[in-house]
Amino acid sequence: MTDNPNGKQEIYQRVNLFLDNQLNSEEQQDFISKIETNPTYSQVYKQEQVFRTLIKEKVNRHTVSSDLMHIIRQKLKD
Amino acid sequence: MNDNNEKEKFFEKELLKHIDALHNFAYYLSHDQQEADDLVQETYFKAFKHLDYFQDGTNSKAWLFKILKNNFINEYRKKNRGAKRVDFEEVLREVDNNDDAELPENLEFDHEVAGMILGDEVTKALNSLPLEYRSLIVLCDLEDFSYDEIAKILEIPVGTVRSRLHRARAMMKVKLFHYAKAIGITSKK
Repeated sequence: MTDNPNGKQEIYQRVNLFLDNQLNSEEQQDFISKIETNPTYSQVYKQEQVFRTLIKEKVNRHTVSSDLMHIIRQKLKD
Repeated sequence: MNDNNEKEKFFEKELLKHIDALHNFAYYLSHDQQEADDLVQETYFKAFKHLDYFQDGTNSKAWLFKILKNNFINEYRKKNRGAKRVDFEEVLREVDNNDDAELPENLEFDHEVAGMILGDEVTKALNSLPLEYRSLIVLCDLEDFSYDEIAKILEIPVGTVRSRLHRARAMMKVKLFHYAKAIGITSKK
């Protein structure tokens, strides 16, 4: 399976669905056992986890200015 | 929710808590601080005005995000009055017609490589994505919305969410790998 590009693509898709919480409980169980037994699954899973963490932790978050919430509350009262 | 006092309490407790996430989404849509502020304000005014339409037990954060997305599209159309109608779908079609549509799947990201990539570069990679892809990364990877919720916010099919998200991540990986390669970061594997 690892040498087959289509197989690897399928693994990527499966890993992403798992990480996005889009698998049902039976599919999740099946996926977990695959990670434990198939080195390719395990490797792709780890890489995708690292990539997700990279996005989550390193993308700048733009928070509101200190005045904005005050302005919104004030305008709603008017 | 007829009582004004009750509306205000709900607004404070259930809606205002999402202001930072909403503002972050607005910023990544517009790339402009002032416009993001205006979009957030307008979203909250509309949400308050139409609070009676909010269904109890549904996701208030997703509801606000959908209002904001619609505001953004309306503002975009106003600014481009006279130009042809433009929406998310049209932007996407233009992107999909590009020749560089083929993206590699299996770029390897290990802890070592990821650890050396600066936050500004990750943000830059996200900012460089076309609007439709950028918004998906924000909604799914930063805000943890489900595919169903994203489909409702953006008003596209769930299957489209899945395929575009897949592509958006692949595009980000390519950009980050180009950056890593340019500054000499390589995996020891």
